[in-house]
Amino acid sequence: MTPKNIIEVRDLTVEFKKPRGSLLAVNHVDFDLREGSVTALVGESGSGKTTLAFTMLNIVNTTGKILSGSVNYNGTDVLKLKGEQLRRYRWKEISMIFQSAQSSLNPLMTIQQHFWETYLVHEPEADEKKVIPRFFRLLEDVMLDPDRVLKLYPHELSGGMKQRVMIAFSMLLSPRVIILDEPTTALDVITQDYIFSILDKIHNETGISMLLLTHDIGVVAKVADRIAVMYAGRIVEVGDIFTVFRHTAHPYAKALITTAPSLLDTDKDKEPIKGSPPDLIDLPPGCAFHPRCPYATEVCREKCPALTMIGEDHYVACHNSLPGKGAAAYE
Amino acid sequence: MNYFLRKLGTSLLNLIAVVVTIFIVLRMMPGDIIEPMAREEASRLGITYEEAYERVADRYNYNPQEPIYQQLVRYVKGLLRGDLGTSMLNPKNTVVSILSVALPWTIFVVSISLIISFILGMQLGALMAIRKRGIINNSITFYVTIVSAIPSYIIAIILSIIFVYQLRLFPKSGVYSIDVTPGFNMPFILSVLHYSVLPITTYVITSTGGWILNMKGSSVHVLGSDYVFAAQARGIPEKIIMRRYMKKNAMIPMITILAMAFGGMIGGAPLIEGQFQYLGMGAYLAKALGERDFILYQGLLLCISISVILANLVADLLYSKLDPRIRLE
Amino acid sequence: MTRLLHSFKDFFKVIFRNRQATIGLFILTFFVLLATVGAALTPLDMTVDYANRFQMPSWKHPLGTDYVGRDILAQVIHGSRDVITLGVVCAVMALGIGVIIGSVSAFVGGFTDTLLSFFTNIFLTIPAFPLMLILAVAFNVQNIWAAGFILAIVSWGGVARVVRGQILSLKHAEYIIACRIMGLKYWYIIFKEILPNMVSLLAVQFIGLFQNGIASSMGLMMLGVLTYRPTNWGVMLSLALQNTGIAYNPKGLIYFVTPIVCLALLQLGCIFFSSGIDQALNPRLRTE
Repeated sequence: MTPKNIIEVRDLTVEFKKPRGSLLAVNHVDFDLREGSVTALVGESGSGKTTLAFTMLNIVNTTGKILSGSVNYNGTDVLKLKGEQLRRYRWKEISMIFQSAQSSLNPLMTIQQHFWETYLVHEPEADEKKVIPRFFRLLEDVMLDPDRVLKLYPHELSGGMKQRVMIAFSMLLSPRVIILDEPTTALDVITQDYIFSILDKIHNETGISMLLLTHDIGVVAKVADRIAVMYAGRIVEVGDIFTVFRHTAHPYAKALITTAPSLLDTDKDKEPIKGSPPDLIDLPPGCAFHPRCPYATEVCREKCPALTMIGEDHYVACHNSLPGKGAAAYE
Repeated sequence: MNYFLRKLGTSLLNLIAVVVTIFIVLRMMPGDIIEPMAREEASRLGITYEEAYERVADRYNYNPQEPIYQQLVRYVKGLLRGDLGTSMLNPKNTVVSILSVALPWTIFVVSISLIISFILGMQLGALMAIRKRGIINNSITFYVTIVSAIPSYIIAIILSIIFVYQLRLFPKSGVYSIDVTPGFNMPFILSVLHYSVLPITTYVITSTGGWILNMKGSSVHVLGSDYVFAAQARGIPEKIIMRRYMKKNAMIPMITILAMAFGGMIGGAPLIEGQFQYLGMGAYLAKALGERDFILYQGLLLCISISVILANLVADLLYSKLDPRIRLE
Repeated sequence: MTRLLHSFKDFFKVIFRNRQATIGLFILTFFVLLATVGAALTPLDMTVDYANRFQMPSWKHPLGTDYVGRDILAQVIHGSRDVITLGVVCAVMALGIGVIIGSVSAFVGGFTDTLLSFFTNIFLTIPAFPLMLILAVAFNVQNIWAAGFILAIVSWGGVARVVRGQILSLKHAEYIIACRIMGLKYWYIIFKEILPNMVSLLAVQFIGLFQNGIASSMGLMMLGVLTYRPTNWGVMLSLALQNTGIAYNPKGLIYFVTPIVCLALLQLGCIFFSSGIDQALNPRLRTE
């Protein structure tokens, strides 16, 4: 039985115009988000994770332009939604916790005003008195004291508190998907753990689908059940977390996973990824990773590899990844 | 410490410093301004020069022959009694009586202008930040560029030539018609408005440009902020985002400029009120300067400086009311 | 030296890439040429020639003549020299005072800072124009230096405040703290790290002061307290208002309009140039 996909991204390309030239932040990407899963989208800064996530809310920075593709949510193409329909879709179906969660709140409004405003624009018939218990429950779920927090302004909250408020806020309309963009980067390690335990709890209790954007493999191992690796605007490897970790097939994914501190605790030498991150405006021809790849061959310099299935629920975009060759891991 | 009390304290200190500064400026006047008047009074009343000098000095509450600290003491004592001396040209008019006639008109004209230009500037500035191109945007830019290149007094001159002398739509001088009785009645109010149209128009034309530019910059900044983006992601309608997120946040830094703008407008009053002969503080300042009536000038200058200090205080209060990050308690 | 030349070249490159800045530079250059070369080449004859008053433009008088038959163009050209010099004198003095007070305030800190900030505040509180008027009378201004000084005295406050704020924020900027931790000398940090970051700010302030100085000085002349030279645009304007009966006399229009147009053009040049200078010298605004 194949699990149901709640989001299906097909052939998506997003272009950004810069003074120096244009760049494809997302380059012909196909991507599925399984219903009820916690999928980690891993990649360096600038690999296009955030842009890909933004398209799922059909919200792209002013300089960005969607060139091709579709984002299907439950049968509707999100990119075709406009005006009122789009407005109602956002947050009600998919909510997002931004990387900049610390500054995602209007400094002039209390937490309660934020919650109520968002609730009201989606449920115009609502009665504030009747929904306040819901605000209480949501905040209690993230271990905050609702009585106090609802009355506070954003600047009166600590970083960890703000993050938890944002988690509660993202659950406000019981969406079916939450996107978490580096939800813990600004926080200290103890708070990070705390936040993930809360997220874990929410996921277990509600079965909500989560898309976790991160560059921290350690976090992925802890919470995710699927992983997708992005490099220079493309998905290079995707699959079930155990399969990908055990049989890493893409050289970049392999480097990313093995260089993570004490993850599977293998005795392999931890070698840093050679070379520097790609210049997105001036990408090398062929596979974008070839200048840094120890297994690169002639074909890598000429042809961009397509995402191919190499095992059960395991896809990779690499010329040399097939079993028995180069970086392949099914040996 | 309490935010408001602290601001009040600063204002008081500022007030003291301003009083002293203006006192010093007047002492820098070349020569002894009392002497010729004492001489004239001595011969007119047939009293000794010394006696006349004493009388004149008392009348203006200013005796340049005393040591400087004594002069300051005399000046401050006078201030505390509400005695700023009398006009040098017409000793029957005390400075305070002139102030009480002139100040309300200036405050009236400047505040109305400030409110109109502030509101216009906020709306147009926000509009410019949202719509980056188009005819409206280009015409606003053109307007802002032109008015920032032409000083306000030139606009006053042009307006008065066209509307007062050529078209004869507005009176040449005064603050209301002699045909009406002051009080709360329609003819009086209409007359007051009629007389104040041109000064207000001048102020509004010249100061709206600055507000537009400031608000545009501030709005663009807010539009790029994370919380506006986050609000869009939450499905908040654009209208609410513009009003509750962009405009409100962009306006807060504008509040701090309000008092400075008020000071700038009141400072330009000698030229603008002078041009329309609108008998407020500015017209009297110009008149006192022309007639070298230093005692009156000093009183007027002190009075407008105090208004600026008060305006600062009001702006601070407004700021703390609007921005929850500054709490009053 | 070559580095200086290089940054000079870079500067003009950025200026010329910006349309507004190019126009601004063009206008300012025009006026500077007018004030130097133009004034040297144009003879100024201020003798009264009553028979030729209010003449329309002709070859002999390209802008016609004024109310006593003097050539308007020659007056405007010679006036520009006075106007620009006064603007520069005022801007240099005010910038000097403002930078000294602002930077001492920010670097020394403590009680000195409180005192100087307080002092600055007084000058920001008393409305500038009326203060300027009374100072001009008190000092009985008769020359350009005194006039510039009066203008500077009332306009340095804003500069001091901005400079102080900028230095304070730079002082606490992470890269400056890094410099201090690295043990770099105080003066080295000031000249190599802080000053270059303030160049664009000071340049914009300078143009603003220049612009305001000119506008205010013309205002002073209109009220008759700075009348040391009849060709200054402000004096021309004030004479036009008093002596031509401009409100009813269309013949005096050119004499009245000329100084206004010149002033507006000069101000426009300043506004355009300063927007460009900010982009040229502020690395953060440079998109490259």
